[in-house]
Amino acid sequence: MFMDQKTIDALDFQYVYDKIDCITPYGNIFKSRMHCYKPGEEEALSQQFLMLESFIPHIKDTSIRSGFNNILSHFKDLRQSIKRANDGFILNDVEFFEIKSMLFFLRELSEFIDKNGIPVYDETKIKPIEPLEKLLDPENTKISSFYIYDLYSEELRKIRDKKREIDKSLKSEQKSIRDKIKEELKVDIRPDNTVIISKDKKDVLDRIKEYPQLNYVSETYLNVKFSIKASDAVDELEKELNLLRRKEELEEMRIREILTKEIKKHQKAIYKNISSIGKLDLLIAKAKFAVDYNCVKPEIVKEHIIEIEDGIHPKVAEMLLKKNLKFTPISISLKRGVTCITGANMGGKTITLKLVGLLCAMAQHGLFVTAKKMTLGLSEYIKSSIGDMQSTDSGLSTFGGEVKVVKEAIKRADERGLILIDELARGTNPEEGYAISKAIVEYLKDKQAITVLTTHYDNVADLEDVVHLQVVGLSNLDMKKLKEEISAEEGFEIINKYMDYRLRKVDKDTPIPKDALNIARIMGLDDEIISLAEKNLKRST
Amino acid sequence: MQLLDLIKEEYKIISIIGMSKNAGKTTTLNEIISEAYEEDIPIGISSIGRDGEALDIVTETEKPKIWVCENTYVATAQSLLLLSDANVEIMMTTNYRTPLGEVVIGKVRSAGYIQLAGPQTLKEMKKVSEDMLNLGAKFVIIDGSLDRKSQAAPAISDATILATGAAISRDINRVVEETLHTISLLRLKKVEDKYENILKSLLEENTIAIVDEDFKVERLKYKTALGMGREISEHIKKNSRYLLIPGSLVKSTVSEILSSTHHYKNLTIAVSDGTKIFIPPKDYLHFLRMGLKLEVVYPINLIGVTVNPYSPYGYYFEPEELLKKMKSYIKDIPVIDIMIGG
Repeated sequence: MFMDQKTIDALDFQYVYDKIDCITPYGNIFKSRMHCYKPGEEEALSQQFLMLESFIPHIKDTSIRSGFNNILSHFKDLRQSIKRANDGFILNDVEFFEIKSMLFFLRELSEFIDKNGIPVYDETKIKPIEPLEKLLDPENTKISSFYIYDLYSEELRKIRDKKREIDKSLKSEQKSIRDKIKEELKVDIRPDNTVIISKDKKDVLDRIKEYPQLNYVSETYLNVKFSIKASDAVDELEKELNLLRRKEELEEMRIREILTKEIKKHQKAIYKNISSIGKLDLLIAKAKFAVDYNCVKPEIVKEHIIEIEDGIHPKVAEMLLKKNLKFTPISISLKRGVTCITGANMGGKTITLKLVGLLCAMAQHGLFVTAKKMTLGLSEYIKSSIGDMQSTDSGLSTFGGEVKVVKEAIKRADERGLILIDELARGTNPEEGYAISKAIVEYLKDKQAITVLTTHYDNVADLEDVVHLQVVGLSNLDMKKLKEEISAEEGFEIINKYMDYRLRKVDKDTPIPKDALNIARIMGLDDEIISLAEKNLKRST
Repeated sequence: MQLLDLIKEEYKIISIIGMSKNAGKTTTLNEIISEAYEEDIPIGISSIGRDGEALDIVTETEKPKIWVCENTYVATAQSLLLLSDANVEIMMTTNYRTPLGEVVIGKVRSAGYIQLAGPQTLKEMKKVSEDMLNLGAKFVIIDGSLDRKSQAAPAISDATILATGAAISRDINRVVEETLHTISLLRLKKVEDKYENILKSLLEENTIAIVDEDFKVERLKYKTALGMGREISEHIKKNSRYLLIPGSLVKSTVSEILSSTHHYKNLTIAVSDGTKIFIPPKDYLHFLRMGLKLEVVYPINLIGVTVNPYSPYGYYFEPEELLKKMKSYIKDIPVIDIMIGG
């Protein structure tokens, strides 16, 4: 497994996944099976990236983008019908219609691709199926409606002509009878060929009783209902019409059977197109994401390193944007072994972990990444222990969960992987927490995996071979000047404004900056408490 | 007078609603179809299903067979379309599901009978109607029912025809009274222009709400107005202007509100449209005397009433008498007897 569910959640990979906007049902199938490239597949992934890259300039063109959206939105999932044809069932008219529409849109898509010079690859090549187009559009109307056309068989045409002819004589026969009755009796005939006569009109009733073409049907206290008696000629015509209807139905069924067999013959070509539509749709969706989020093509290398320049976590950036705040891009460079990140509270340490994990996961799923530049050696897995900062559970239950994850990560530490651990043992007492954290760093520093760990504890990072990165934080800030601003703005916004989220590489034994008091001050904790805390701090050091 | 004359060139989407089963809705629909055929006008037809009640649709809802002529557009469930003995050219599929299959739009190539079971929501119905108009139908007729569970087709149509008839009661006076009552509900006035948009969006939210004279909105958390009249009235203040009830408005709710607050004199109860009100005629008139004011967000354009003097339950009225009676009360809308014409 590349990522467990907790890691997917912690990195917000689902957020990115949901932004991959496939339009066709086929595209969504390929999306749900989106391949994750592992070590050894560097070449294949680079190939994928080249394909994706070739689409970017076209997708940037809004008319091409909406052209694709428009054509792709017409493709429905027809696999069930194709399967039915294959299994020997006879397709119905709606299914023929849907297949015909698909054939027309295949042609439209293929012409659109040609016309706009969109790159074509084997796996995304759309091939119109001309024989089937002709089959389902025998009148060559180029209109996607469907009907069992007269052209399908001479027999059908003859039956229908005859039907029309008889229908016509039937109608004229009926009309002449109606006209005659109207003329002779001066009565109104209703559309269903009945006549209703009020009992007041005795003379009319008397005449009707003797009248050969009308039959008594029923009566009420007020009126009597008659119906037109069918003449022998009408009877004969109706009989013949019914016979023709049955013949027509049988002939239509025979034609449906032939059409179905023809479709079955071309099922391979249909399936190939279905697969091409799906892959093309997914490729376009990835390109749309890359364009919309200003992504860059990651460079894939054999060596196991991760280098990110000005990376952005899209979900966090979106949340900040809603508050009118800007995400500060993060740059980081990681290699085999352990890297510790230390620094101020609220300094974005956790975001850095998420960013590293997310960008790696995106790249390995064939997506461009939200950064200025990224160089990456593939990992077999990403394992994370990143707490939900809003979560209420803390203390031992959290610690238990952390231990479980770390245990699992250690099991795979000899593979090429990426392990992300946020504030290990923060729920425990400081002495033990420090001891455990340090032990884990000592253990992981010589392993195959790249481990990134954030910590509050001093001296965890002070080992040989452990890279120590520090958030620049509020250290360059004039607190006095800042105090004047505090009343005007919200604490969070001030921190965001002045926090320097950049990471700098420091000596392994650089102490962790003590920004907690400054942050407490900005967030508006009582001055009295702050000064007491400062006194306590002085006493203990 | 022909039914087609009512529609003229003016209306694009026309709904037919029946006062009860067998009131003559299907006959009215058939009459319009044959009149249109005579005049060589291609039209579209569909029906609106009940929302989300699969069982009901399969077992109980009447799906009358309609005779469709050449060049008529039909929007109905796939399985019913394929069952039809008319030859139908498939023009479009929609993604709208019904228990009887997806809704498909077809064009009749040779006449025959077909059963109608169209889209289940108003939004889908509107889209399907527009699709048929785009394909070439001059106008579209929607067969809609008039009961508590169904969607109010009038809300999406430009014009509505009401079918009434002997099937409602053995007492001719009751038939007339019920019909007049329904007509007056269907023709309720639209809410004041300046409140229209607020009420529309509240209706969309499906919340019971009170809007005061300063357009301030109070949303009430009750899921339904049924049995909550007293609770609702506690929120009504002197300056409350509209009380919006998004679902059905029944007698007990109104009577509870009128009896538990004095502030209703300035207040108007707003509902989506006249098909949502279920208050018997006597009580309705009583409420009006007490000062109840009712308005609708979506007014209905009633263009005609069809009358069927025959009841399938084995009795009938003298056609002339029923028609005369109806016409003497309904002055400003044409009344047509679909059995004898005129």
